[in-house]
Amino acid sequence: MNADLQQLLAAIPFDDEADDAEIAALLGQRRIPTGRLARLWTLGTMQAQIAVAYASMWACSLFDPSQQQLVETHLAAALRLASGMIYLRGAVMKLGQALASYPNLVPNEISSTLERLHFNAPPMHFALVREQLENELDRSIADVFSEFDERAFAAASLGQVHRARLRSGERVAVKIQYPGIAKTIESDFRNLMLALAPLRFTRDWDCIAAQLDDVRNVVTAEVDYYAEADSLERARTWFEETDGIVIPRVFREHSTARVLTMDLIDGMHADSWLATNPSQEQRNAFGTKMYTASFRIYYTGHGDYADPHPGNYLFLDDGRLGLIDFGCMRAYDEDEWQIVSDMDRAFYEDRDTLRTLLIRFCDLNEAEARDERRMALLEESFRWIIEPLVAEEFDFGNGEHLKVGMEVMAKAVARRYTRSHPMQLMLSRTLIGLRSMLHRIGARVRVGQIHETELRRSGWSWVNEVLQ
Amino acid sequence: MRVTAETKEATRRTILEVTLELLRERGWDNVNTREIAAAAEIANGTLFNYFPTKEAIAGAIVAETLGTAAAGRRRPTEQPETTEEALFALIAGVIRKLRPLRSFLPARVHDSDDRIREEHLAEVERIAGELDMVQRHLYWTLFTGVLEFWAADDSPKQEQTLALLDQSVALFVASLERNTRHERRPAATPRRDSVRRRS
Repeated sequence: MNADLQQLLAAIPFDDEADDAEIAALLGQRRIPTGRLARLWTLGTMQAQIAVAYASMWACSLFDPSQQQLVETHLAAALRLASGMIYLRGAVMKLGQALASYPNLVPNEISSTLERLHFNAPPMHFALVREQLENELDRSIADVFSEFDERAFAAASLGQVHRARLRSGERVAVKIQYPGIAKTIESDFRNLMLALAPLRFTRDWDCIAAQLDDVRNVVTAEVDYYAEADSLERARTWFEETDGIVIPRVFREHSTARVLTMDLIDGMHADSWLATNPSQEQRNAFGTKMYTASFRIYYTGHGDYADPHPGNYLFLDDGRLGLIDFGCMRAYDEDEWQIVSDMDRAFYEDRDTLRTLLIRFCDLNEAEARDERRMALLEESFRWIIEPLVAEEFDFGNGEHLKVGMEVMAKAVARRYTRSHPMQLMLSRTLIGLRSMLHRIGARVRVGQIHETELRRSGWSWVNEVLQ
Repeated sequence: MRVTAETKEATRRTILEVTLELLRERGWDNVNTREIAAAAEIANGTLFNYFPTKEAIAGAIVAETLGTAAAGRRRPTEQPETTEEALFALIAGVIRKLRPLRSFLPARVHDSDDRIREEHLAEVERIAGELDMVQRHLYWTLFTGVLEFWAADDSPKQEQTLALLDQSVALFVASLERNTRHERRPAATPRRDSVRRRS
């Protein structure tokens, strides 16, 4: 643990039983915490406090130095209030997404910790799992499942996942939500808005509020497993067998708003797969599938797979890619989809209009649009976004690209250029997540080629004219 | 005809069982004493020799359920059970059994006599080890608090109660551990290790 993390831990009001080394050890790995103390930490305040302390660092960067003390006073109060919020960290993390990705701005330990913390609901022992499951399904476990593994095999957003076998013989993954989480999230958001009330008079408030609102919508949808089941079923229709991308089937009769029963997909997570020393060809093939999946969801599904977390990808022995978590999908509305179309078209036809579109995309006012430094940075950010698209084959294994992207975003945060259209938040989350993943597996991908193929599926009338 | 103590006890038990069954099927407001007597196959007047009102029958069911909580506890079969999980299962069993009486519950929980409380706490001690006075009080407060919350819980399928129960039990077990760690009460012997499943 470096000095910064120690200072942060010292600054926030931990439980007197807590031990810094234990906390650091706990936070240092993403696992299903089963220890009693670990349970209490998740139930209690530790992680939320770290998240809020981090949010305050992020929020402070938005203000003039003259306002600093006032802001800090309010944030200290917000920190105390938020100490009881269990799920706040999820929202905070998404809000501060750009910062969390930037080792230059926050200590490594904090950014990697935040990455792991998001949406960890308290782990459930089997007695609780059984009560929740049977309440939801209105049947006993034995009535529905011939086998049910009492130990969770994965932590899921807002709950955990168990392996089981249906009475009809299918092997399934059963995702079970921690009880009462929807209400908790609702009140966390309400309290967060109260805590942030003093910021209403600052210039970026509208933007912060809009982004918070967007995050709230995604988080609220994530609570509803019916919505996730819908997304899974829709997504299955977007892919064909030849794509080599597997999305689990949902068992509706054994699913509710809080329980999601789906096919169990046998595959490895990234770390285990990388440990098998895959060849460059295998890496490229999986990278290609990841990009195809992302563009397919974007152009065919008009949405973002907004949480390309390593845990959501499975590497199958036969070379197929499994996509297993559709709780964090964001669909574009018609206006947003029009902006996407205009930007894509400008990319192919008329890059001179891009500046105008970027102004629209980032919702800038006249003065902001005249700020050359700001516009230059926006254009730099756009160049970063399209860099892999214009290359013949892009090598994500070279960390330079990711580093440049992070630097651009770090500059945006440092110069307080955080205003943008809410959809940009999810889009950058998707892009950074996807490209970090591709960097991790060291893939070389023909992004431009995939882009063209997938763009043709968008249904936009101009596409065939520009792509001869 | 003289009624033996055994026959009396058997009739009393039948009344409690059929009442619980009727309440489960129809709900509190849709069951009356005439129907209970008919289901127990006794005369109306005989029923009143045992219980003066429907509320008195329900009170007896609540008391028995609290006192004999262990009977309603289901045990998982594979993993070793922790103290926390065992206590959770104990209370979840009580809640499951009392479901038909949910709206009627709060007054009865407070009125439960010392014998019932002692029987219930004896079962808790079988799971968690010997408790001192403060711990017994803390447990009973949390337990009755959860039941009262449940009686008024309007969340879907009372899922908020499950979350509250989980957190209350975690809090109680943590308090046992804290005392042990600080060695404030050398006389107490809370069991911190796992309780092996017995079925």
